[in-house]
Amino acid sequence: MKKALSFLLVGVFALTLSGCVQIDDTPDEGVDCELYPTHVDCLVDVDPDDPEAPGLINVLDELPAEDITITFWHVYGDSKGALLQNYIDEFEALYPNITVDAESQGGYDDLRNKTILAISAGETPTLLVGYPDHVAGYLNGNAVIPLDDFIKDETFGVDITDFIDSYVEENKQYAGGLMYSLPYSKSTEMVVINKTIFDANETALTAAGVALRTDAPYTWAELDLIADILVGDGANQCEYLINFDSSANFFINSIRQWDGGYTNTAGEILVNNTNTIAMLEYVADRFEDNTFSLPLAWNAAYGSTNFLKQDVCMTVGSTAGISYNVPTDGAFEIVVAPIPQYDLDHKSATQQGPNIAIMADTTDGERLAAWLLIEYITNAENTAKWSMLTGYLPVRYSGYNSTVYQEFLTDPDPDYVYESMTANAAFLQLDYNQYDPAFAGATTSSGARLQAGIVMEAIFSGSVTVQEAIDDMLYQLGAS
Amino acid sequence: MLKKILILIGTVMIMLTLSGCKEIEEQKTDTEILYEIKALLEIDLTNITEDISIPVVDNEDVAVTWESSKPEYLDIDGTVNRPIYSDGNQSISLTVILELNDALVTKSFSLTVIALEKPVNIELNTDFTDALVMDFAYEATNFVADGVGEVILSRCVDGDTAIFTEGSNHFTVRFLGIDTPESTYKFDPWGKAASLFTCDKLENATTIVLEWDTGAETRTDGNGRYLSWVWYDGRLLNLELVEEALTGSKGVGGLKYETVFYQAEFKTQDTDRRIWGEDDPDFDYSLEGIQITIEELVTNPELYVGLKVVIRGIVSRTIGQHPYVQDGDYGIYIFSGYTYTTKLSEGNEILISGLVPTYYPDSETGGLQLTGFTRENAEVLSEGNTVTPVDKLINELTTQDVGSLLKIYNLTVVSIDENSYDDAFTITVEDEHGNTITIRKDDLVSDDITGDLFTIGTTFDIVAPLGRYESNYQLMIVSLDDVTFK
Repeated sequence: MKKALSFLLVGVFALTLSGCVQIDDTPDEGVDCELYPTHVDCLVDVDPDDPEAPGLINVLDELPAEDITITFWHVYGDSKGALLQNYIDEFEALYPNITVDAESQGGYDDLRNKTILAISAGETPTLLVGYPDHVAGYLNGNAVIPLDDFIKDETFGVDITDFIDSYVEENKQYAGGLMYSLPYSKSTEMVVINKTIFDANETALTAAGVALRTDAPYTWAELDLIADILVGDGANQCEYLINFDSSANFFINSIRQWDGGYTNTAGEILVNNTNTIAMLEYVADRFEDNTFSLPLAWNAAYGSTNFLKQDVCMTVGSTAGISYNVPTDGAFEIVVAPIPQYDLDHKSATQQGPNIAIMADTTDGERLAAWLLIEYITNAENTAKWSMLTGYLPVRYSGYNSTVYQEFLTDPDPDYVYESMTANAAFLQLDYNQYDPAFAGATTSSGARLQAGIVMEAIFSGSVTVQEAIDDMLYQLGAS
Repeated sequence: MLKKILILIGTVMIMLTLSGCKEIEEQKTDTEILYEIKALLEIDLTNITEDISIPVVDNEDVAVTWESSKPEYLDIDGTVNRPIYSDGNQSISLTVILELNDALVTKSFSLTVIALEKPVNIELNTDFTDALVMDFAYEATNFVADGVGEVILSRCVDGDTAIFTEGSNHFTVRFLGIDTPESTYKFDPWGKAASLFTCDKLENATTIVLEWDTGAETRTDGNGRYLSWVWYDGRLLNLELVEEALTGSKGVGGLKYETVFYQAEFKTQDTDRRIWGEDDPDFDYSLEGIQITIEELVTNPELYVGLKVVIRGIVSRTIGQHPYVQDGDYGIYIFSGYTYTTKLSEGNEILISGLVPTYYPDSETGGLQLTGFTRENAEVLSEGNTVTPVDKLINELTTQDVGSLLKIYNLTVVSIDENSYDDAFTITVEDEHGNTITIRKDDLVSDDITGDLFTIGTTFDIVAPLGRYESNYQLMIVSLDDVTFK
């Protein structure tokens, strides 16, 4: 009886206390964050470094049992598309109720344009690859979801510290510092060197202190010394010393090496400064004496054809494009090195290549299926294999450190020796990879990049002065 | 006694508590009242296929407003319109807004409206092509000079490329805005269908008009092919190929017909037909293919063109890294693409799977070759082998000899034709009976072989693989060691 009375008293007190609790709640204002929890205006209080999942999206406890079809838009052609399909086939075998429709949408611009239209029409894919400025644009339309809840989920999460730091930083540059995409198919630039011509000039190059090397970048000052020996119309010389495939990358990355200004995430154009102008004037002089060149010299999109013709002794291009610079006819030997630096105090290499994102107009089941696919194709084994076969780079440290990838780096199959050289060069640049700030307001980062390339080409063609080129860039971007 | 005291205390406390609670209830804020209502609102559904019941709030003082994030699929009265299959399942937030005086509370329910099942065999249509009309004149203009002009089909190539004639000009055109699956140097699913479709339309057209796009950065692509929209009898073939699900759009951004191409592509993607989801009945989806001898292949090519095969043989010669592979008296050329490999070196005995026989450029004028090479599919069985050439006379040559390493004796140079733009050259030779054949030095072959080595009247024996170009046989010279001057 005593016990019954005691329970009664405790229950009464408990009821009393709960009935008297004041509920602290504020009515919603502005954007309804309960309805749109991933809207940028609702993310201000989220700490992206908090180990706890932010709870912005619902992560299911388990994959639903019913059939789920997800659509994956990418840009890969027959070769890489077939390789990707292999991974998808494996994935579908692991998850028999998930069907992945992988569809190539053409090039990156095609993919972006179609996605923007698809967002308007409400017919987006489930997931897609894209550059950061693409994702920034989609985010403006609230069309992508943050992946942090998946990343930090107890059941389906990944160890984000296993992803290459600079890739993670690139993917969390969006509003709220959240990850609206995950690194997928990353690359950087390397320089391919005509070893045969360097060897033929070994004595002179060694005497000048600029012998062939691949374990450290040449400085621009060293390129001047090399140009003195290799540029010319002699038997073991080239018309130009070094080509830069991407005039935009050349502009942007050189600015970083010169500690100049380019843009920021707010979309400000910062190129009108002393260091940037000095860099461009320095480059203009090297265009003049054929030390530097652009594909425009041959009215081409890339310099690979003319590198193979030995019109140019060195060529800077994407690591993913190494196969285009290999003389398959054995006409000469090549080696691959980190890209040249203005000096060794401000080293910078362009970090590029697409990431992967999940669209907002999707169900919880589709999102989880898409996330599982992303996890699968970026796991240590698959990121390593994808990299070895495509020239892209592993997105995870565990991929780099895997046995198969380490063997590829140190003792490659003879057929993959050039991909291995490329990966080694890229690895040396890992500590100073840098990415373009992504923004998609009135001015877009892709628009700024386009103008950056135009500046370099205009200076190369000699049609404008450096200041005129800068002024025109500012005018075109509405920043003058 | 203690028991009585406890009962008394308990009774008093219960009375106090109840009266206290009543007093507190009377003091509830509007927000608290709304939260109590909110807690009672439930929709016990997640996946929806039919109309649902919307919960009712039994409090006349509370204003209740429902909002649906996609009322076209789930309206606030619970009416459900299931999306068509191509729109997929729709994730919907159904939100109730509760208002009492100045207080406002919301509650959202996450629901999924399940899409309708996909219909079988959706018919393709060409509505956009039908509706699009030419908005320019072409009668008085020339395509090469002016960017617009009428042309005559010279020859089909594949789904997105053809050769045309305009006056005395013959030129290759790469169709703008599309990229059909391959069907020449390699085979892709639906490549053959795209090629046949394009060729059929062009061959049967009364009028073909080419239109360059000023939005394109250049007149030609990297291979010197003119870029153009291709109109046949007033219909835009590039767009029709999209609507026939034989290609997606590619590189159409910023071009004249960008919008209609995207519209056509989205519509066509939704059908899941052809390239968007159907298997090509003419494509061999096997990974490796059937193993056959080179003799079987070259003597019965019609049985294998377009299918995957496994070939074994010895690399007799290479041009660039493209090998001629020989097995006994029969050989074949393999187009190895542009990926570096060490496996195709001369003298290597190789086993290669997944190769696809095809004619380049066509069976009438060209030769049989193998495409689809990947280094992952090649295995080197042995190295350092030599291939004994087959002795032949010029008048004995047949298409079965194309790709074989041959030896032909006592040839005399009758003419020399050197290119001005690269290191390639062609010489014409005749044998003792006056039969002629050309010898071709490709620009990928060593520069040690120059035209200067051959003068009219020079006589020699030669070992070389046989090729076929514009319906004529030609010996593909690879090394000076293969030439024995007399």
